[in-house]
Order: sequence, then C-alpha cells, then structure tokens
Amino acid sequence: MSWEIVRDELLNNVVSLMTAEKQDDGRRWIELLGEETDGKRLGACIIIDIRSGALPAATFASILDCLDFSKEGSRVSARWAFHDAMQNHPANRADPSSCQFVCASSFSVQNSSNPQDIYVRVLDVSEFIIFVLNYNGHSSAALTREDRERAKRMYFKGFDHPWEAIDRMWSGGKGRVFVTALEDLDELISNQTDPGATVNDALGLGMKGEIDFVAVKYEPGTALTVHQPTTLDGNWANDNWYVSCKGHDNWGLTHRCSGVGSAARERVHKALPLIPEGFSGVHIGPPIAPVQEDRDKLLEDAFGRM
Amino acid sequence: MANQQNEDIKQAAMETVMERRSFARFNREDWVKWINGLLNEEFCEPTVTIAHHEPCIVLANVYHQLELKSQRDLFGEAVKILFETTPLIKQNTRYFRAILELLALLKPYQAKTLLRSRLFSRDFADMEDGGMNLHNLLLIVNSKYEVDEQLLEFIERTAKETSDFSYLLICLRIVSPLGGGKYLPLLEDVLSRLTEWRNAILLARELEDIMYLHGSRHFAEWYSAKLRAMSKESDIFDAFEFLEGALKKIVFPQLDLYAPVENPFNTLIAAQLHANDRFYSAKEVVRIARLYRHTGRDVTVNALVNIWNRIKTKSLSGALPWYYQSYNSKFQRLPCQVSSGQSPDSSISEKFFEDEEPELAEIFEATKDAGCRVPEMAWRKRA
Repeated sequence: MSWEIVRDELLNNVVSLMTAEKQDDGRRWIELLGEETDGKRLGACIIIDIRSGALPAATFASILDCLDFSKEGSRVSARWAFHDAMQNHPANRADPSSCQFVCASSFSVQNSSNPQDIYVRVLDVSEFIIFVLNYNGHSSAALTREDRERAKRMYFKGFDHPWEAIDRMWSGGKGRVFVTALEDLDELISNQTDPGATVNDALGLGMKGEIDFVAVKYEPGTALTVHQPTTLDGNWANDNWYVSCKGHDNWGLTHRCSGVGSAARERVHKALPLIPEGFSGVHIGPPIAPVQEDRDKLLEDAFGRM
Repeated sequence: MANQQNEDIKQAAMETVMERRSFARFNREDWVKWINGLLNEEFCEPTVTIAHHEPCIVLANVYHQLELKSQRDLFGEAVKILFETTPLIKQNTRYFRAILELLALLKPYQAKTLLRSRLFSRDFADMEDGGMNLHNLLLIVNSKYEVDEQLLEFIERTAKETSDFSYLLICLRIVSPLGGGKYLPLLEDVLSRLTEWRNAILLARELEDIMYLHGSRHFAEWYSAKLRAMSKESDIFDAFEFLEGALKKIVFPQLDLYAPVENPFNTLIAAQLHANDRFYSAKEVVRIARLYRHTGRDVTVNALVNIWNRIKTKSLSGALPWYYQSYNSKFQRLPCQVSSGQSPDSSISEKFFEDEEPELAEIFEATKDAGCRVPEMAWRKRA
C-alpha cells in the first residue's frame, strides 16, 4: 500500500462527493496531506474507515466541505485543516463543547454480554481527577503533586476496593472515552518492571512529562454502547498515535509508539452520565523509561491496515 | 550559482524558523501566544501530542519538560497574563478551567493578589466546567499559596453560608494542615449539611486522608466526645449516623483487636464504630482500655462509655456489655476482673492487678462512674 493509492481513493471516493464548489479545496487539502507523514496517515485512516464500512465516504465529504483555507493553520497543516473543518461542521456548531462525530462507527456493541468484555480506562491520575472525581463532587486540583497523591491514596487501592459515591463519568471536551480490555491490560503489565512505560507505549498514549498511570475498571455488565474507533475519534489538531482498523470483532487496535510489539484492543464510548457503583481503580505507575517514537512505523502500520 | 544561493537562503530561513519555534527559545510573548493557541485549538507550533488528553494536562507536561527554571518562570508568567487578560464571560469557562488548573501547579508569585481578589469577588461563582465549579477551583488555587488569616477567615465565613458540599470538603481539606484540630469546628459545619449517603462517603474519604496525613488523635477525641454527647434530639443526629456508617464502610471496615496496634487512635475509633454490631470479649475490652497508654485517659474513657452504651442498647438479652469488679482486701492481693457480658464465666475473664496497672483500674472506675456498671437494683438482686 502506498500514499498514491490513498490519494487516488480520497480523490475518487470522497472529493467526488463534495459539493461542486468545494472540490478544489478538497484536492488542495489532499495535496497538503501528502506533504507530511502524519497527513498521509490521516488519509490512510480515512480510507480504512470507508473500506471497512465503519463510516460512509459521504461523512468525510461533508466534513471536507467545511475546509477553510483562509486560516493560516489550514494552509500549513492538512491535519489541522481537517480538525478545523470538523469543528465548523454545521452538526458541531450548535454545541461546540462536544463533537457530533465521535463514536460514529457502524461497528458497535451494545450492553455486551460477553464475559471477556470487561473494560478498563487507562489514564493519567490528573485525568482521573478531572474526568471522574470532579464530576462526582469530590473536587480537587488536577495537576499538583499533593492532589495527585491524594487521589491515588483514596481511589486506587486495587480492583478489590470498589468505589462508592462514584456514579458519573465525564468524557472530556470531545465527548468520547477510549477503553481497552482488562484482559489486554493484564497481559501488557503483568511481570513488567516498568508497567507505566509499557502502557504508555502499547496503548499509543505517548505521554511525556510528569505522568502517573492509573486504570479504572468498569463494573462488569455496565450498560453502555461501545464503538470501534474511527478517524473522527482522534484529535487531529495536534499529534496523536491513532490508526484505524478493520475487521476485528468491533474492536480497534492501538499502535505502539515505538512500533515494536503487539497492539492492544480499543473501543470508544460516549460520556456516561450515570454509572453503576462498583467501578474500581488500580495504580499502574509512572513510566520510568521515556517513550520511544517511530512515526515512520506508524505510517507503515496505517498503510498495512488498509 | 544564483540558484544555489537561493536554495541556501531558503534553507537558512527554514532553519531559523525551526529554531525560533523551539520551546527553548520561547520568550514570554511566544508562550502567551502558544498557550493561548493550544487552548483555543488553533494551529500552533511546535506541535505536541494531545490525542484525547485534556489540554491543561498537555500544557503541564510541556512545563515539566522545560529544562531551565527561567524557561518555567516564563511559562508561569504567560499563564498569569492569560488569566489576567481573558474576559470573564461564560464562553471562556473551559479556557479558565485550564488556566486555573495550571495556576494551581505553577503558583506564579505575580498572580497571588489577583487570584485572591477574584476569589473574594466571587467572579467565578456561576461558572462550571465538567462538574467543577470554578469558584471552588479558584479557592483551591488560592490555598496553594499561603493560607493566611484573611483566607482562613473567608473560608470559615463562606463555609457557614454555602450548601455546596463539594466546597465544604475543600474548606476542610485546606484547613486541616493548619495544625491541631483546627478543622474540627469546620467539620461541625460540614455535618450540619450532610443529608445524603453519597456525601457521607466523600466526607469519610476526606477524613481518612486527613487522619493519614495529620494523625487521628484530634478526630478520635472529637468523635468520642461527640458520640458520648449525641442524642436523638441533636440537629446533626442523622448526619452523624451517616458519617459513622460511611467511616465504618470506607475507613474502618474491619476491627481486629488481636493484631498489633499500629494506630491506637484508629483502633479506638473502630472499636466504637463496631460496637453497634458485636459484643467484645473480656480480653478485647481490656485491650481497648489499655490503649490509654498511647491515647490518654479521657478519650479512652469516652470510647469505653460509648462502647458500653452501644452494646447495651443493642443487647436483646439484657446482658451488660461487661462486668468489672475490683476488690479491696487487706489480707489478699486480689486481681481486678473484667468479664464479658456475653460470657460472664469468670474462668474466661480478664484479670489485672491494680498495683501493677493503677491507671487501668482508674479507667474502669471512671467508666463505672459514668454508668458502665450493674444497675443498683440488679446489683442488689444479684447479691
């Protein structure tokens, strides 16, 4: 697979569906896309989503209809132009606080009865404070060391200490939450001397700085609809490690930042205004080793998944 | 030749642009623009990995990766400028949330006065983002600087006025490190607003952490005295019961009086909490009493009285929680004896000698004076 194939499919299957007066912008965007490695990956992800049937080409065409090359960012970065187009899509303008295109894949599972489908949300402890604690009336600052340590003491004694008084979960500004399978997390971190670095790499998080990972385990049987992630669940305004996937039993697959080793399964769901009691948390730890990055392998994987 | 020169110039220009865009070379204005751009989701360079992380976390990690303090100071100044110059309108709520989170971390000295004045003016009172009231977050930010008398007075006053339980927990948390039991009067204010089980759980978690950080002595003393004085007519009776239930569930789920005592005050608290649903053996009663060596007389007596009252109230058989007997004999050295109400068989009672442990005898005598004894009529009947 190559960029030329991606480019041609975008032109033939997406740009052709754009409104006539915007098709020049579409072509210009594709040309810009091809100028950067991560732009090519964005293009590949779109093709994967269309080929797999996760999203129709018309959805992408309607987004590209909102391209705005009057903005400097759009002229410099095709990924940012795409992000901006999504933000300015009529479906999103009504409520800028969330994105209408998240969790949109036609591959979804509702209220799974599969006992293997126990989800965990891996996040930095600051994110836990923002997404969970503050949303449940247990307010705290999120970034200071003392607040992070307190959150860990209070809520991360282990999966055998289910939480009470935690009955809501926020998804963040974009309105979606990425989860992986508990089984996959266990396999990733068991017998690891540096589990923090392992999840940072294997889940495609690629975080740098003062990181300390925790895992929030969902109560089995939590009523929710999960989707295979698509391109539109990624944040393309800045860097990410996202690659779309097809044909994996309604699961997506992460990509390791290092490009070495196996991926983990991932799904997305929308905000959970109410969650059952029984969620619990375990502390994974800070990454000791810094994240290794290989963006060439990321693109290679994207082409490979087409 | 001309072409080569043009190429060289182009290359040099690109390299200058690349250099300028490195964080290491950012001046304060660069930081203001870049942070503002990132929070506005504008295109800004250098790009960073955001993925699905919150922007304030991404920014904090950029800050943590800056090698020099001078660079970090510039970052802090930029955040302060953005805080100062961003209009206070509801549309900027998300933006302010990120800025406030960063200010809690960075604590730029130039921001202290403005933060304090915004707090006192309640400028953020009606702004909420993701379940977080920004006035509450602003209070937290202020507390990261020195908690002086002015801020303390504000906390104490507003805690009495508010019905926001989350705010009350924050107040409790801020006051608790100030030493001693300073947070206990505030705890009474919190209790007066405790009407829901879920808030009792949150309060119990908060108290657990306060005790972990600052020790349990003051809370144990307060709790034991409060429980002893509590009556159904009290305004906070229901709230107190909620709190006890939450403490038992979250903080003191088990009580093992035979394990080595790591924290005697915690043991006293737990023993009182669990007295609602069990008898204590003679050995256990004496073990509790012997905690006076670490906890002091008064709190131990209060605890024993509470345990007595609890067990007596719940006992269906009418058996007393324990029987304590001491003997005054000129002719024989007889031990004091404690036997459990559940099994008053003296062969499994716990014995000690008053001359060896005079304070222990005093503790039991004090509990007797407080009513922990065989009632007069029953004593006569037994006799």
